[in-house]
Amino acid sequence: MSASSILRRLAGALALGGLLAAGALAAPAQRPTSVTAQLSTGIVKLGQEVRLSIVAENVQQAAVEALPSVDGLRFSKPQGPNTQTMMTIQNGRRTVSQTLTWVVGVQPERKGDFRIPSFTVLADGQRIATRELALKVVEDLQGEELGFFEIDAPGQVAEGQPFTLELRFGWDAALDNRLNYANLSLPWLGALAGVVELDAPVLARNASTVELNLNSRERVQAERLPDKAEGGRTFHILSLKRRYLATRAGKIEIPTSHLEFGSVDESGSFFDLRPRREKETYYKRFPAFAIEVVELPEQGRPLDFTGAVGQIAVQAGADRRDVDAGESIKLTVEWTGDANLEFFEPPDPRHLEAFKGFRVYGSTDRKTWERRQVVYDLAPLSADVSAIPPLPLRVYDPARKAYTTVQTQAIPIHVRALANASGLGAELAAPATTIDIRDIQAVPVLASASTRSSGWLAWAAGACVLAAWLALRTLVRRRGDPASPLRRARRAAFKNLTRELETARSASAQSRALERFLAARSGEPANAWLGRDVRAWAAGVPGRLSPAAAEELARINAALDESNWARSDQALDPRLVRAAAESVMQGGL
Amino acid sequence: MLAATWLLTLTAAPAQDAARLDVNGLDPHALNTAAVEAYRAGDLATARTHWSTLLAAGANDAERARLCYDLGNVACRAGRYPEAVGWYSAAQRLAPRDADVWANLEFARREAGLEPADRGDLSATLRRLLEAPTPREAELLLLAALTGWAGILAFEALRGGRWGRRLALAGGLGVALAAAPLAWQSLTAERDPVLTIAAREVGVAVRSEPRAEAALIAQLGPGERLERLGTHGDWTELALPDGGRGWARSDTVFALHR
Repeated sequence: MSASSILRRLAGALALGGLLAAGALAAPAQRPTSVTAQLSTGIVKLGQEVRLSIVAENVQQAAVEALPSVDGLRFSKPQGPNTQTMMTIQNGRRTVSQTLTWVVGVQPERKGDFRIPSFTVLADGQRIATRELALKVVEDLQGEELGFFEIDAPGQVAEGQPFTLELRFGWDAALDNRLNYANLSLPWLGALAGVVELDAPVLARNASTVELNLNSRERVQAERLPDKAEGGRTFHILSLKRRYLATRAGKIEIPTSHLEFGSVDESGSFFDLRPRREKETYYKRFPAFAIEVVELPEQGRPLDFTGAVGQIAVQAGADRRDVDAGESIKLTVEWTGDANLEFFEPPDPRHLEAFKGFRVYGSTDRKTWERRQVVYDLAPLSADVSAIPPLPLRVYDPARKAYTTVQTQAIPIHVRALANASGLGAELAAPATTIDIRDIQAVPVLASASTRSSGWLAWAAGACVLAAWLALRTLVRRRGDPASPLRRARRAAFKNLTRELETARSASAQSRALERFLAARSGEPANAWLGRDVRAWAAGVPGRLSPAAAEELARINAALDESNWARSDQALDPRLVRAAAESVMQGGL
Repeated sequence: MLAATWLLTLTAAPAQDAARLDVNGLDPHALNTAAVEAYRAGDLATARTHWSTLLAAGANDAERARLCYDLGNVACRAGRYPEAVGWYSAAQRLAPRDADVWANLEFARREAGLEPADRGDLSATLRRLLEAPTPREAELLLLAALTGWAGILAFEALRGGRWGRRLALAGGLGVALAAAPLAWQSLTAERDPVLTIAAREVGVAVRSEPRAEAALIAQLGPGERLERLGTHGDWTELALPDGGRGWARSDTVFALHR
């Protein structure tokens, strides 16, 4: 295996490790994607253009796929998208919320009721369908003076603040005999971006209601209000309320709304859905408007602010006031008012210094749009506790444009000492343990090594090691492969000689062992050394073997021959042979 | 020869003095004793002042880790858990294996409503392993592994053979493992890291320019690590994870280089 193949394998192993580590360490996060489509009005006069807005929220990339083809409506090419980006990082998870908006012009070519079918937006590789939209094109929007329509909405709200849209609408009481149909055209309903729709306020039991059409596809109950006189006419007035919570700063655009009323033929009943033949229809318009959503100010924001926005009142009560130490008290705290009661984090007495004399077992949280009720399960720890302290909630008051504190009243209680208590009190008599931080390290550290690295030393050393290895390897291999059989035999020659001499019992065996040693060292066959004139061989090539070593080798060869032929093959002292072999190795062989 | 050179390098790690001889004319040991006594007596403001003075005066890394840890305890006792997370994180950078620091960091994170620093999953465990040695220790670990590998490579160069190659490869893998902490720390090193320390419910508002009326471009939760690019008055410029830049109020971020 070459050096380059070793390096390739090493790089492969490192890359695999890197991939595994990167895979394990990656943790992306993403908010759910949503797509909405909204018309700028639900009813339009022939000749006027309608704007279709398509909004894709929480996407990186999106494209409007083919718009539907509707006979009688002409769509322009989508303009945009306009991009708005907002990044949020929570617990290390990065969420980028990007909103893309396209605008499409819709030009009616004839009057009639049109349905714009659902179409798809390709958002981050996912096809999301919009809802079906209704558009009514009329020759003339007559009857402005016969209808009444106003929307009561705040001009500005704070981020997180709930708000109510109250729609008050109606028609001239003089038309009563001629009307059998009404429809509210609210193209923005269910398609507002940047808000969460809350539960609508519940109508009073004794409220008088009227059922009418909503966006020509559903029925809704509207509350009947007292008639109203305006401009010399008396109007019947109905009211419809919707509640929202602003989720991000910016503008909430509310397109044009219409009240459509009149008479139709072949209708089943008053205010029937989908009239088939209109005899006469009147329209009352309420223009498009916007609500500005402002950020909560940073100035003066308490550190323990938990997101409560609005005007809040609080009241609290305890289920018992005379208890043993350690006995449970249910503290019920109820927040009410025009605020985001369902969305703030209630205060936690465990984090409040004032509640140090209590153990907090837990709490039960109940939320409705009109009230927030939390029941805290508390236990006073000793007879020293004389009251349940006030429980504060930090609130942003949009009316005052300031942060305020709403807190409960202190509730006096009587706590009996543990000595006379039983049950839970006895349980509490055992020492209670809790989790706490570890103590300070009070003793200074007198001396220590720096924790900082040089930044380059180890990498430079690694490069040096690799370079030195490659250089040494190249140098060594110029003389041949050190792992070849010849080189291995040469390295093992002396060890083998020593082993063979230990078992050799005659001079001839010693002579054969020496020949094999010389063959391994020289790379020649063993029989080449049989009877060789070593002195002449050494002198033949300068540097092949030193004269002294050649002399030593010639002597031991002669001694072995003499013993073999003249002394009954008697073995020589093996140390003499080994010494001659060592001399040969030192002599350059 | 090479091994001898490295040995000299390993043993030549500079040892720093514990603290300077005096801190504005005061004995640092006396100042520390006063801080400890103040802490024990519940006088957190005095303890914080003394330990901050010692920290500002400069000390060796282990002592700075201890001071950051103690200041974290002060913040914890004062109920300022996000700030305590900052102090413990600063201590953890200097003493990454200190069990006390880890225990208190996790406590403070829990109280601040943050996820644990070590979630115990594969990713967190790998990260904790890679960050367990200090940068200096990671460097020494790599140098030691390189020393062993140099011997193996010398053997492979001189003798070759299958076993020589196998040993060299195994040694290379060993060096790669030993290099992982240093490589990770080099790759993830931050020039000037800061931690967001606003309360969980409030978050840190990041604006396009250093003024309160500028557009809000990001909202960060507490305990997020970012790099500080600069400051302007009461504002700190941050490098955002998407490559962008933004400004946050300086009192909502905590510098981790202490």
